[in-house]
Amino acid sequence: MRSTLIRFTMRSKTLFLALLSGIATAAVPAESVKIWISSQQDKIYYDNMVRLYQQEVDSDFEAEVQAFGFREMPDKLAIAFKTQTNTPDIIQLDEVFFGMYLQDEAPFVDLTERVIAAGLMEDIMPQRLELFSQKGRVLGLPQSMSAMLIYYRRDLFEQYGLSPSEFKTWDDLVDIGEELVAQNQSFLAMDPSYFEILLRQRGSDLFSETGDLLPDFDLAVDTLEFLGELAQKRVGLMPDRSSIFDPVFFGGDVANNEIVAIMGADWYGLDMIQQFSSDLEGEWGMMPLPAWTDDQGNPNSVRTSTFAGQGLVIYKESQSIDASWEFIKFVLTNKEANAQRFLQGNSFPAYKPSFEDIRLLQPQPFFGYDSMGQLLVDLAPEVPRVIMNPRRPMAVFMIREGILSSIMYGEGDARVALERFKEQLDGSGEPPEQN
Amino acid sequence: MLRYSGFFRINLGRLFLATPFFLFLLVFWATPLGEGLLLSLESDTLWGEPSFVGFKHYKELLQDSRYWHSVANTSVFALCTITFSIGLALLFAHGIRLSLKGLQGPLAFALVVPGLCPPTVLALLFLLVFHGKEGLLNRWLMEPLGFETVNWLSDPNFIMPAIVIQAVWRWTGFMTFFLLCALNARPRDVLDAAAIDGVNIWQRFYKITLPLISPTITFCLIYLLVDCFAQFAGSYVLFGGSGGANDAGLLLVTYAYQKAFVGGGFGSGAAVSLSILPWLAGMLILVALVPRYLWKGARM
Repeated sequence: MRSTLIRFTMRSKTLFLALLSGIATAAVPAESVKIWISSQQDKIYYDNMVRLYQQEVDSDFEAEVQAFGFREMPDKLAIAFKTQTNTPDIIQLDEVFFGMYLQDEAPFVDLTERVIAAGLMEDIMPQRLELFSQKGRVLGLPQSMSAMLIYYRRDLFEQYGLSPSEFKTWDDLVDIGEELVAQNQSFLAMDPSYFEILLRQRGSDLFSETGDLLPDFDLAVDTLEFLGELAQKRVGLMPDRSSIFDPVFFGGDVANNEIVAIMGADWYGLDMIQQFSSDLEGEWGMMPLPAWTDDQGNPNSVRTSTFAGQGLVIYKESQSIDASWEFIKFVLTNKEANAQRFLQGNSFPAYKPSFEDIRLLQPQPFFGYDSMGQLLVDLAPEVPRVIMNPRRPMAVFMIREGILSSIMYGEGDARVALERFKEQLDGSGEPPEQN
Repeated sequence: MLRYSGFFRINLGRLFLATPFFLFLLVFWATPLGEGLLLSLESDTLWGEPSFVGFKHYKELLQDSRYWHSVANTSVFALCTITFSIGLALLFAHGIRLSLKGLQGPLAFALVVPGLCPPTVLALLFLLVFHGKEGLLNRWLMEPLGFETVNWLSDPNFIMPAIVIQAVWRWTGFMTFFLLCALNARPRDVLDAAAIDGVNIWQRFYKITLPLISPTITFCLIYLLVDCFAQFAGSYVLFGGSGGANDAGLLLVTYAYQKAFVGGGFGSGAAVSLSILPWLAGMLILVALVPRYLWKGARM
């Protein structure tokens, strides 16, 4: 009697579990791709892209787009990777933070074969594709060109009788700036990121291919001294919180006409200037960076540089690698997706076929009917490459937050500051193997 | 319910009642501490299996000038914060005692409010206080007094004073509240007897009042010291996780954060975090011993 009862109970349980399992299987939707984005502005864009992808490519595609703050996302990602908990499938990662993951084997899918098969090796600007690579393997696709421009105030240029064509070299900029200082007007807003940007414009970088820090040390000293002089002469004005990426900078220094120009990448103009300086619509213009000169005063550098910019990477342990790849390939290559990224104020694409899209080249009312697209397309071949290194995030952080500000305030000597910087970075633990 | 006799006599009933406390201690204190220690002995592998590296990270810290800079900064920060907070709190507590009875409660409450404010919110408010030309400190204090405006958050000479001001502003009121309670709890007869015997105000304060309230002062010192060594949220908001220009405001916890989240070295970061323990323990012992030495034999 007892054994019969047990058998019956077991059968009932099995049947119940089978039913439950069947119901559960039927109720579970298609696997959702988890996308981590580092700004609210970009979340809106990616939500739209998911809808566009569903309409045009795969109606069964499901994605959950989660946005975090620009600084919070890398922190959250590091914890997720370290603990292997709640990891995303696709990550929109800034190139500076990308470097942090190159100390050992990167936790991102090697996309090289897929990129070659999709013909993207030729279609994406090589210097930008190289940015998200390690040991010749492509680990991510760059979203933006990140070419540096000078954004200037048209109304103030008119007030002081200036023309963009006068700014052919940095010497020109200093001369004109000094004339403005005599009228109690600073010219350029300063930011600690300018050191790296100008160094790159002059053909050097923070690291060499072999991982040496500040490979052209004298050039680095000269660049830092130049920035220090700009600030000391008040041609350059350090914002109150030492950053042009601070909303308070727009409400204070920009709104009070304390500066005439800002140096920034395409994404800076499209996103930050348009967002935080919306009341100055039509009063902004754009021009290339002034060139550096040789001993005879002849221009000998490119007219742009590069800094930061986001890329899309796929987590190596993702259960949806193929679906994730198809989506990011769509976002990076689809004509509408590229156009929307520009038109919605995110960034200018690094995908070369999109350079011919008329929507990207049209004059923009916000910038006084200048065509940012045309200027960027003209400058694209000159955009320098960035030499990636696992120590780069810390180097950028130390320069941005520590060393440069002190030089701007006339505290100490540029050479001593950079020697100390080298000593500190080299002495804060063994340098990881160069990738 | 005595089970054993002699020195190791255990009352099981009391042990049972204390069990939740020890469980809590084990789960929320000992386990994270142990995990942190293990992490500090592992390689800085951000993804994948880390390797055991022993005390490598600790040895590297000994050679790391930024680490020593952060130790010095944290010590200066703690010393200044404690000195100003306790000094002002003593002054305010006496001031409140001298004020009208009806005002004492509202005044004490008003002083406690900053201490109840979350440090992140407070730091956001201080962004407005310290902001360059537009900042409240410059507009309401520096300019009216005829001084040049100061860029509190960017000028390396003013970064440490800025974070000290923020901490002093936050804690002085809270400390005032504790000291006010201690002052009110002094035995009246002792003070009256001293006054009758002709002891002057300074002697009464130093020889009688301070020894009487020294346990409360010790508590305040320990509270502030631990807070100063654990300071992160405030300086993170003010300096974005950096130590400010020239690392002038680089504190130990900020450096641990940089090691882990900027350099990608969780092992190194854990080593910096745990290295705080001996510094803090040393200073706590010092803080506990100073009042005993100063008022040896005078305590009631």
